[in-house]
Amino acid sequence: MGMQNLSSGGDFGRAPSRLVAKGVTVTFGGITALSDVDLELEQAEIVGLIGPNGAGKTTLVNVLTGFQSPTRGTVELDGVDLKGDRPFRVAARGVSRTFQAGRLFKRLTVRENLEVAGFHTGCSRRQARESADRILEQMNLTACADTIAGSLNYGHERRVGIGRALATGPKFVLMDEPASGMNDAECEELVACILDIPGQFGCGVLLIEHNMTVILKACERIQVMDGGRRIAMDRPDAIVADPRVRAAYFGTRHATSAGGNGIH
Amino acid sequence: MAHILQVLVDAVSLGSLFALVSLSIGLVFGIMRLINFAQGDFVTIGAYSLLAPAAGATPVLFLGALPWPLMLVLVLTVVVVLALLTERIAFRPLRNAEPATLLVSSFAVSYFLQNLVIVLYTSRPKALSLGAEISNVVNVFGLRVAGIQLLTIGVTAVLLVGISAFLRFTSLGLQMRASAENFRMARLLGVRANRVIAGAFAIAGFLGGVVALLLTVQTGVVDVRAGATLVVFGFFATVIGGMGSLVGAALGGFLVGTVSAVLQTILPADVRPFRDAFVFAAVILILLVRPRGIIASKSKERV
Repeated sequence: MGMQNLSSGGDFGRAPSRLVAKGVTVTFGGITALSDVDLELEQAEIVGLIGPNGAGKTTLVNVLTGFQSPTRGTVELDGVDLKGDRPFRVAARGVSRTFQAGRLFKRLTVRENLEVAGFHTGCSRRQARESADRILEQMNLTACADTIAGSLNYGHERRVGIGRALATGPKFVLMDEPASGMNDAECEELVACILDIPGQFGCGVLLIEHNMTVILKACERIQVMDGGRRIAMDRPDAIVADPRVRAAYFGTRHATSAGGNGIH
Repeated sequence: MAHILQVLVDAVSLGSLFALVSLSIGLVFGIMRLINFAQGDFVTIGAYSLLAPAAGATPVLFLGALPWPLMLVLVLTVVVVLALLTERIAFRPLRNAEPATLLVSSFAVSYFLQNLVIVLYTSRPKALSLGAEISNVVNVFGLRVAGIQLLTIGVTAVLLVGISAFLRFTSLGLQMRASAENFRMARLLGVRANRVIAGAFAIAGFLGGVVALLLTVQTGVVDVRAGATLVVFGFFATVIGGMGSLVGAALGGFLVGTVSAVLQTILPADVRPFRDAFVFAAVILILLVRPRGIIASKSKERV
């Protein structure tokens, strides 16, 4: 009995969460941005979401996080329908997101940025601070804890944004192009940081990214979208080999727009 | 030299009142983009709470009759409760409205409160001698300074330090700073909108109560228009400081106070009654040179 309890320490004490989108369709006026899209995300896994510009990736993330209500279809978190929940409510339920522009509180320090996100469960300032410091340490950001967020360089700003999302204690973090504009060294750091998230924070990651090096290194599964539809969902090696994917994505000029990191 | 110091004391003590008002406006504006013109009426009602409602010219004391520690606590409580009620009833339902709608709403609240005072107390200013002993002139290093001026400066200094510490070290203060920078993002991260906004109004009410007491001791008069005049100066101070910067708001208050005090000295005697016109001209001038205030909030968005 005692042994069992010990060995279950890494399972974070409860059944893994699931974020499931089913048959999501979004139309703006007469234009269909998403058409009957499914997505399943398990706690503690890293899933990539790729596709050419206009494929509907960001719209799907907006639906998952309550920024956009679907015309048809459902989003469920552990069986609970998120329909009608406003973004902050969805976030409070455990679906956190990062934005393309970091959107940090630029006048606050890095530590304070994380502390703000740590009051969600009625924590005291001290508890929020301890949890912020722990996250900063795990993400190798302790050195810039007292830096004013507005003066961070690009790579750090992005990672602090991820740290802040993690500070809300989420079940899932959805990242919108975290590597855009990063140089190779910053990308390496980012991949290492993302790979650590499931183990250290017990949450799942959905990674929207154009940079294929980052996607292939970080993700266990990859969902490919094109023209508002899901065209594939598989392991990275299978995705790379999939002729439909190559035709829709890698075969187009978008591969070269990935800054030389694309697969040719 | 002594004369310059004298003007300086006047400037800082007048500027202190403006700074407290502009800080109140700035705190609320920072978080909910509402320019609360009713802030002046919080001050007015704080002052009137010292008196019992009556139409006669002779003032009947109400809270003003209590021993001063109790009076202090009760006046501050009245204004804080008033500020919270205003937020709850008039502004919370409009939280997602345009700033222009909020502004109109704040004018409506302001006029409502003024008229409420007129109904209860009539519009006639009432003489009220409060804390006569602290109004006495004291001699400080050869300067003749009214005790109330020193008190005003001291209280303001303590409040500025206290508010800075509150914003820096408490949970609510941190959440207020984050909300002032990006309210939607703060909400996404779990900051409770109602708590943060109520917190800002509570502080604004507290400062309004302090200003009410200091002003009443200083002028010896309770006047329904006093708050409205004060709020105009306070608002200018906020704008000069740079909307959204609290340090700027406080600095703006001291700057407006300084301009007023200096003009009071250098203007010829028969022009002095029109001093405020010159103050407002100076405000326009400052804004022409620095349209976004002394401390412009730098919003460098990366593309």
